[in-house]
This record gives sequence, C-alpha cells and structure tokens, in this order.
Amino acid sequence: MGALVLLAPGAAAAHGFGQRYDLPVPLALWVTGAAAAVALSFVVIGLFVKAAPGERDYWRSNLLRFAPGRLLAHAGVRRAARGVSVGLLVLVLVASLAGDQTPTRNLAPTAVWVAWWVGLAYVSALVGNLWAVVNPWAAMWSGVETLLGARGRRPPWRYPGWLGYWPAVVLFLVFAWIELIYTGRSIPAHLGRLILGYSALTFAGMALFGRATWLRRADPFATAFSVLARFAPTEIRTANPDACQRCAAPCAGPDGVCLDCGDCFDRAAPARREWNLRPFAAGLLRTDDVTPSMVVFVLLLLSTVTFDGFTATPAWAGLEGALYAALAPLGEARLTVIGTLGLLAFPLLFVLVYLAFARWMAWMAGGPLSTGAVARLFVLSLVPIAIAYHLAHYFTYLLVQGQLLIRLASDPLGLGWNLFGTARYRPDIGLVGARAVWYTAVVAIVLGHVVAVWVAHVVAVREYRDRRAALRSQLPMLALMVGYTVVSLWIIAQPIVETR
Amino acid sequence: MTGSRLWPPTLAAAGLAIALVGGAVAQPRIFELNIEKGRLPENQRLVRVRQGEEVILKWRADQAVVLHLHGYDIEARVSPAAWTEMRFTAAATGRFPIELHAQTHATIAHLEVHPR
Repeated sequence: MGALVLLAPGAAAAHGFGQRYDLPVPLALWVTGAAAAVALSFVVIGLFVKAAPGERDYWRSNLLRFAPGRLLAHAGVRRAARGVSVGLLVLVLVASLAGDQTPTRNLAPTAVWVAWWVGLAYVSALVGNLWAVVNPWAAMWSGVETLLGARGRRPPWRYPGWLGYWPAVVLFLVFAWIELIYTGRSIPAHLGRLILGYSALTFAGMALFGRATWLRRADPFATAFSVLARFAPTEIRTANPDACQRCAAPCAGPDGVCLDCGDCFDRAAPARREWNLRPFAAGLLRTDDVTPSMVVFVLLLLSTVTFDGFTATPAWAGLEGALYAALAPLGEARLTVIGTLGLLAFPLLFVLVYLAFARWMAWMAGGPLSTGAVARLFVLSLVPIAIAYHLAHYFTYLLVQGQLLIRLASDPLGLGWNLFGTARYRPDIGLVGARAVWYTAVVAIVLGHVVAVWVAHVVAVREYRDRRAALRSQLPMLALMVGYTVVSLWIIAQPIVETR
Repeated sequence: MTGSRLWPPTLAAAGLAIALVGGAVAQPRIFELNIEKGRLPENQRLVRVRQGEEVILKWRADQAVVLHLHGYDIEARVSPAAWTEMRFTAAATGRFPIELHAQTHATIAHLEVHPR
C-alpha cells in the first residue's frame, strides 16, 4: 500500500476535484441507521396493507396562480437566466484556457465539479429541473434557430426509435470516467478542451436530430438532471395534448400528460400552463416513459454515485493495491486500468443484481407482469436512496469547497485581480461540525430509504391491483432497498483514504 | 448591600481560577513523527485529537521534504538536522490528509479531529 501511495502521481480525492475532510460516521450511528431503515420499512408496509392510494395522480398546486410565481416564470426572467448561464459558460471556458493552471486558482475546476455537477444535482433533486431552463447549449442553439428563422423546422435526420436513451448511457459513462478516473480532470486547460469537445458534439447532435430530441434522448446531463428532478417538489406541465402532439420531442407520455417540456410550455396558451408544486418523489410515480435504456441509464447513474464513494474506502484501496501488484506488466497505466475496470464493473453489477431481483419480484407476485415490465416499473423507486446518499456524501464538500467560489469570483482567471474584494478569502473548514454532518447524513439516508419504499409500494398497488400480489412483489424489493441503503451507510462509515 | 458589591470581584476571581486550572489541564498534545524514506512507521500514520485541543506535530525526516497539512493548510519544511513543528488549535473537526511534497505528492498520515 505504502509503495502504491508513493508511486501514485498527484493527489486528489475520488471525485472530480477538491478534497473531502469528513470523519467516518461512528459504528453505533450507522448500525442504528441501518436498524431504523429496516424497522421503518415495515412501518411503511404496515400502513400500506391497510390503505394505499395506488394512483398515478398526486396533489398539485399551480404556482402561476400567484404573482411571485408568475414573475419567476416570466419569459423575460427565463431569458435573463439563460443569458447569465451562457455568460458563465463563456467565463469558465476563457478561465480554463487562458487562466492560471493551478486548479484552486482557476474558476473552471470549482465551477464545473463543485458548483455545476454537485451543486446542480442538489438543486435538481430538491428544487426542480433548473438545468432544463438554463442549459446554455440549448439557449445558444435556440438563439441560432431564431436568427436563421429555422425554429420548428424539421431536423435533417430522424432520431431512430431503437436508439432510445442509449447515446445518453454511453456519454454518461464517458463523463463518469472523466469525473472519477481521468487524472487531468482538475487541470483547467484539459477541462476547457473537454468543454469544447462536448459543445461540438452537442451542437452537432442538435443540428442533426433537433434540439429537443437530442437533449431528451442523447444528452447525458439533461437526462441525468431530469431523472434527479423527478424527485423534486416542482414540475412544469402543459394541459394541452395538441401542443404536445406537435412537439418535436417525444414529450407526451402514453397517458397524454406533457411534463417538463419547455418547448410545449412556451407554445401553450398561458391559461394552459402549469408550474406545479407537488409532493417530493411524486415525479417518480410516473413510469410510462421508462424504457429498457432508461432502466440502464438510471442504474448507471446510481452505480457511479456509489462507485465514487467506494473508491475512497480502505476496502477499495486494498483491492487496488492487490491488483496493482498483479498487473505489474502494465506499468504506469495501472491505476487508470484498475479504476476503469471498477467503473465498468459497478454498473454491470448493479444491472445484474437489479434484474435478478426484478425476476424474483415477478415470480413472487405470480401475476401478469414479466421481469422486464417489473424492472421498468420499479427502477425509479431506487432514485431517492441515491439522492439521499449523494446529499450525505457531498454535504460538507459542497459547503467547504463551495467557499472557493467566494475567492474565485474576485479572481476567476488567477491573474491577481480582486473584483469584489474577496480574493483573499480563506474557506472556513469548521463551518459544520462532524456531529451535525453525521446526523444529517444518517437521517437523510434513512429518510431516502423510507421514501423509496413508499414509491415502490404505490407503484406496486397501482400495477398489480391485487393487494396480496403487490405485497408479495415488494418483499424482494424491500430486501434490495435495505441492502442498497446499508451499503450507502457503510460507505459513509469508512475512513476516506486517497490512493491517487 | 455589601453582598451585592462583593459579587463582581468574586466572579472575576472564580473566572480567573477556572481559566488557570483550565490552562493547566489543556497541555498541548505533542506527537513526534519520524519520516524515513518518505514514509512514517505504521503506528504514526494516524494522529487522533479532540476538537479544541492544542496540537504540536514535531517532524523529523532523513532528507529535506515539504509537508502540507490539508484543510488547516499548514506547510512545513523539514530537514534532517532538527525537529520542525506544526503548531495549531484543532478548531475544526474532520479527517485531514498530511501530504509529503517531493517529486510526487503522497499522503503519509491523517490528522483526525473528533468532536468533543
């Protein structure tokens, strides 16, 4: 191990950039958390045996009925937000290519890995699908379309239906490799070139298949944020099936409901627009649009989040050390090879385990639903566990590393500027105490578990109709969820070790 | 009446006494750490202290190196000739890597500050 540590070039935490200083959660606390998750699962089941809604519908309140809601959703405000977003993208790009190349003295690594990837994931899950509104690439392309008078024109190629979400799956895997394995991820210039490459790909995709279709099917980030935002307490909905039928994106589900489609929202008459407040996780009940490729995408998203945490544990360090010795002929590239193998193995393991459980569930219920149907119905119910783990995992990271933005705002390129007088700001590492972090983390994970069990039950009661069959189908699901939650708790109870 | 006038000095004396006793109890925690060939002995790789403690890390190395305690962001140049000290109050909880910066960067130890 020691030799491995010495040989490893550079030092960085598992995730994209910056270090986490979390103390491991004490044994007693994680065992309590695991026990609480199991106990509360049975409470949820107990409640549902008596009465379960088993519905697709949920409580909603249209924020556009209120003046502040109308103001926030005003076209001018949305345009301004998109303008700011494009401006920030240009600033990050300029900083990455022309600024100081020390990662902490350049805005780009912190903006990309801390604010955008971790921060926006929090916003997506806890507030709503902000990325769908401010996505700067979509905004720029939409501007180009307007300039050329090409809005609403048919794209040159038709997006083949069999492609499904597979391009998003492949591109997300590439992104995960960059985030978790690629050592150049925090070097500003490398990041800048990656952003340029992504821009070229995204513009090409939007040009060939149409903006809305590409973003909904092939873009890894729009897809990832929209999956997380299904958990969020807000949605946009267009109560106008006709507008959706004409939409370039396949946005209306088989049930005719048009959710989270900005284009339809823009086209619809004001009276038909809804910007709804809804219960957390309500969006996960909608399973009509979940295809096999979406199942794989969701499992990929969940597995990379877990893999990120797992690579900082002593268990992974041990495995890596053993493989490092065994793979001696590969020389310098060994750490990258080992990491890549791990990154490929994790999603594969998640898919295999999930499908095995789906098969078990279908068998237990004995009903009309096939393994594939079961897999499509229940995959979204795992999302709350992943979101809770993500919140727990990055809580202090976001609060501590996020403070770098205060400094970088004054000197984004690391050229010695002091625009706002904050260039000398030093992050306060004692902002939150370990005890507060531990309790927040364990409570979040247990709550996420309870919500997941609840979602799966509502879907089961709805789809099986027969309450007994629904209940039988949920026993394997419960075992899977308890396992997943316990793994999440176990990871945050491990001391963080850096191996690269 | 006299009683109320006596209060402030009594309180001050009590405060002083507590401060003195507290000061006497809160001895700095001293850790001696020997780097050999870029590594620490197994039993020196984890430094555990309680939040609020005064900590002194005394370093010695068989060759000149630069050490960096992350989070607290303290750097020390260590030479073979003498002990070099890192002195700080462990105000923030957490697990902080201590890195050795030579041709490569490597984590040689962790400082764990546990909550009281």
